[in-house]
Amino acid sequence: MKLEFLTSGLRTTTQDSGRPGFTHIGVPVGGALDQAALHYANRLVGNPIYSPVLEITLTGPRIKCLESGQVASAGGDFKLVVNGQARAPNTAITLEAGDELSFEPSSAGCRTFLAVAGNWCVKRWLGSASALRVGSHELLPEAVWYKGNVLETYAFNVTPWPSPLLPPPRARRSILAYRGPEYHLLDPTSIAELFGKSITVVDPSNRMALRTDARLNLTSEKSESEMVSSGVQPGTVQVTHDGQAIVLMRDGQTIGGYPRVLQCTVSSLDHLAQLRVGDAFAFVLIDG
Amino acid sequence: MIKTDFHAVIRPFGEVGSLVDISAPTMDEACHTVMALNKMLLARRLSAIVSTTPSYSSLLVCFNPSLLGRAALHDLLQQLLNDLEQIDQPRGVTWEIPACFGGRYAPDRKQLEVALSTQWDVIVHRFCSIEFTVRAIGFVPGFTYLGGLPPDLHCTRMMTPRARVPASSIAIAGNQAGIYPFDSPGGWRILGRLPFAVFDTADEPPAIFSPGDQLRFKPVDETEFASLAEQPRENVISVSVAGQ
Repeated sequence: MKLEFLTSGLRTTTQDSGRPGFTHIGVPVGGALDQAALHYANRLVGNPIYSPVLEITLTGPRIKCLESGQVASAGGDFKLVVNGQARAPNTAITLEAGDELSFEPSSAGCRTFLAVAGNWCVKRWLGSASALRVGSHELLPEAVWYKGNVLETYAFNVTPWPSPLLPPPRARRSILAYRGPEYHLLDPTSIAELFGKSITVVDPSNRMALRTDARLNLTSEKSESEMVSSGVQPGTVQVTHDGQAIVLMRDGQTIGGYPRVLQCTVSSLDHLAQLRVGDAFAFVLIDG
Repeated sequence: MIKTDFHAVIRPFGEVGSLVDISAPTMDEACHTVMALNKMLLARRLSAIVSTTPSYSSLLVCFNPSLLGRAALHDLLQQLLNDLEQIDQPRGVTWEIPACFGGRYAPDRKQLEVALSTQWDVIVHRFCSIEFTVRAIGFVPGFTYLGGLPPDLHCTRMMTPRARVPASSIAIAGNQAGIYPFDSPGGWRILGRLPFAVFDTADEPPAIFSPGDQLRFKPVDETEFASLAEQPRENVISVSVAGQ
């Protein structure tokens, strides 16, 4: 099928399961921030679950269909609107040439993922079609969509799978986390602060990290200047010099010098991806 | 070759990560042990190892727990560490790299002369006499952290970071030296620039250096820099493997 972007939306990028295996040269794994939504949207249109999708943040693009085909979105409780009419969620939608597609965000999520049926012949870097922005540099510029761009997919010569998956659960506001390598540096007040009350996402938060209003104190056992940079992962919760807790996301840095007090579970990353600035959540500690 | 007395701690770091922390008499030895461990682990070519992040004195190993359990991974890491103790590990490759430390490529020359109470040519000569080790590549893709800066070249960061540090700048802050892969904001003090890119998405692999590599800088003047900058990178730098 063929789709033309009439507007780009806030930021619309190609994302897939990312490019694992390059953290030793500082390249984050990246990929769709909500992986369950990526899999489900692809399955709805009969694509392999790791196919690229469009990651749509808050304000979606307006898209015109040039050649018919199927699309489906998952994640963030966004509504798909075709020619001004809202469509039922969690189903594949057939677009005909001339149809216009737009998105209606909900307060329950931050990002939705639009699967487009067929084989995406898009540029890949290090095995992934995912956009990656470092400062003002786009490392894969072809993965960022602007007004006037056309996305074309090509038919697979396979029978699409039926869709046995259940839709991903609605974004959860409790985030499961293990103790991180420097958990022991938290003082008792900070532990109460971290688990006892709700935490709010604050600006600037993006694909690299979610910043929070949690303010934590670290015991002076090891001053921050003594900590040498060491590996971090998506879902690592670090405490900055001024005590702010930040949660690293899939485009986050690969090494860091701040104490790593928690490590969120892999599935919690999908839920974190749906938090908007101003949303509240809570950490739940897992023993083990 | 070095042989090191080190102590290793292996611990879980989330569901899909394990962290190996190495303590050794010096950071150089700890870093060398980390790089050797990483090399031995990667040589096993296990599909269960998703990625490894060596950095200074630690190695983060991300794995696929459905292919390899954590206990088995820790056993493997312990086995490799035991092997490491028994054999000398060769160092990584050594690069000789031209760099310009003059004119517009050294915007912090005056401040560094004052801060270090040393004349510029002495600073440059000293800097170029050091064999640096790549202790980590990261924070952003391709940022190259170099260990080995001697105490007489230690300096503080800038009070106000620059809005734009040009790509390929060599800069120092505290006891570290580093190379910026992209134009970016930064607070390290710039003392020179390389005539080539250290990270390019068109290259395979995109980063020219690897953690554990050794680097030695060779000063060139602005005219030579300009001519080197126009040549393909492989004509500009030379590399030797330890022991050859």
